[in-house]
Amino acid sequence: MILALSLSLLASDFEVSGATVAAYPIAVTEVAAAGAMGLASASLRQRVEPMLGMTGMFRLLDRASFLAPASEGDQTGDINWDAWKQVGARGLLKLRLKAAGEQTVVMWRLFDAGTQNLLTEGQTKAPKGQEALAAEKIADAIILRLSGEPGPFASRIAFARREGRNTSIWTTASDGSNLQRVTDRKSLSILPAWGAGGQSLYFTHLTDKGQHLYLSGIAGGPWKGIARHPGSNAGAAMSRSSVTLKGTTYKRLLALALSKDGNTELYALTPGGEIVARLTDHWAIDCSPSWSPDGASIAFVSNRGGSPQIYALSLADLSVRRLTFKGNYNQTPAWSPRGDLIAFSGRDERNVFDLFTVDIKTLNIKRLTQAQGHNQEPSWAPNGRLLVFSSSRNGKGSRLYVMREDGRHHRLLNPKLGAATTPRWSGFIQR
Amino acid sequence: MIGRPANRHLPSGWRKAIGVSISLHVAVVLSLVLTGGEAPAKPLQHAIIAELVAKGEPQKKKELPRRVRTQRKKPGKIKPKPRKAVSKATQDTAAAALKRLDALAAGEEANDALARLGTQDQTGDKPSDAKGKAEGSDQGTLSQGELLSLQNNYLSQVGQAIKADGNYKISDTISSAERIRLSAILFLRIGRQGQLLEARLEQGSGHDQFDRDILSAARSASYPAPPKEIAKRLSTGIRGTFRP
Repeated sequence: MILALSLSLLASDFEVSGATVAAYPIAVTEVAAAGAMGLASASLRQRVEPMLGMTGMFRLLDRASFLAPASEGDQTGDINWDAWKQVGARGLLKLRLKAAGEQTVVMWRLFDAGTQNLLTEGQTKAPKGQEALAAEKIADAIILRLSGEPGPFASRIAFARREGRNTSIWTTASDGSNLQRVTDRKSLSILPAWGAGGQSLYFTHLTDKGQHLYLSGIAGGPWKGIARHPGSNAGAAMSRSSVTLKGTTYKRLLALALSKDGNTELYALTPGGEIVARLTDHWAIDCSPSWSPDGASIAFVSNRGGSPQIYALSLADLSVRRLTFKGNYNQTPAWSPRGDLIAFSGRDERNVFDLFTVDIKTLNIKRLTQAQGHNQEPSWAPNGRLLVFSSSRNGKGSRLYVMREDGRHHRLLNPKLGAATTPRWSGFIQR
Repeated sequence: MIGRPANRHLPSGWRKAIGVSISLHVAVVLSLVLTGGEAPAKPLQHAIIAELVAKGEPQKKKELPRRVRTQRKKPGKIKPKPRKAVSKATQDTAAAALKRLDALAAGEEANDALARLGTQDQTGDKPSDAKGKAEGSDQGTLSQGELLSLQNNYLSQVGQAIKADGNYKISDTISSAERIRLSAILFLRIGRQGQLLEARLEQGSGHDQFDRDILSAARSASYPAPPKEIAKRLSTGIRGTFRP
């Protein structure tokens, strides 16, 4: 009696762990269509595939291996499941376009090829001829369904682009497509920073009179002077949430390094440029602010310890905590959207700059790049799963690359971007 | 005068003493030769019994070493395949079950649990049959410990079968931060030939993709046939806790 009982109890408990983590094999295909609609479908697929690929989460299956006929539909009963399983597909993404006047309705359906279940589906409209714009929405929907987290594509990346002797501010879609100029060709503008909502950009404009902070719409147009104090007005960073400072709560605050009093210190400004408070007061140089996602702290660089290191400033009492103790030149901190890590570039023992993260709680340092030229200026995707950074690895000057937050899966963002530096990934932008 | 022996000058008392000593030694040697050199041993009046006595507090019973039971082997019946060492988790589980076994033996919980077991039996046996067969033909003549060990080993093999050849894969779409906290329980029913009869999610992890991944791994695994001594019991289903 007791034996049977004990067997019953024991049988309900064995453990399996130690899984192999593997990229999700997915096949992306469009429902065949004739003429312009067929071309638009192919163009949409050709943008969706690399978007999924750049996240490092997916393994895109080669279309040449597909066994199912191109005419296959996107209804469960239409699909030859065995044909998809044979090519190793775990997920099957079907795209279909339908003309609707001057617009095109873009539809997508994601299936689990193993269980034949529909995992997610959706549709959106795009102007005729610009159906590829729907790729961002589709990729984010797929990522949300399979990872449980939002995708990174409802965002843009701003950067400074070298053009001859000048440098101007540009933006690009998160996959490196859809380049857009912000400042004109003849300017010397650097260090872009996103305004709240992702519709404007702060940047520092260099002239003979100094380094002043301006604001521009992302489509260009007139600039607005934000901070034109004597000396340097550089390295702006907009908070990602409301900030409480000295008993007052602000919807957003701008952190900026100013040298108006002789020494570079951090200040808090309103989005319009009014100084709210001086945040640091030290004989050393304090610069490169980056907000924590909750708006309670700012990571910054200071040489108060004898060499440039990463520090965290608490807005509650303006106390400062040193975060990095290794290396003798750590700079450009970027606080992750999840709040647990700060990415930064550090010069290692070979005098090469590489990317690292420091854990806020444990102060453990993790190396993300190695032996691939200089890698600097990290910036987090709004979902915290990807980082964009500049790298000299191809020997042709600085280029923008994207990698996963664990340092794997590096991708050149777009070879057409040219010499690009100081990338800044925006937060989520409402479409 | 040169070369005279020295003893010629010894006093007469010394010469007598030496003579007596020599004669005594001769007498002793002669007596040993004549008696064979050994005196007969005296028989012991009482046997000497030594006993180890522990001083201080008596040792607790549960701290005493357990009696080792030798395995009785049934030739030709059980041929366990070579397998990896049983995991710590499985050992802990087995230990917990044994403890529970002891507790149940002493407590009232046994009756309730037995009733539950009867209702859980999905093989068609009535509860009363289940009682009777706890020691009955299905389990052969193996002892409780042996059956428990057999079951532990089989469950361990099930876990290994799911992981064999990289079959236990989870999707990289699940972030590393998520992976730390995920845990789900699958219900599996394995037939007498090792065929999977049923696999379903009993307790989800909260992450759909992880749940799909573990179901996929469980469904695509090749399971060993359960030993016939425990096959009937296992046919009612087993539960596995899955972590990344």
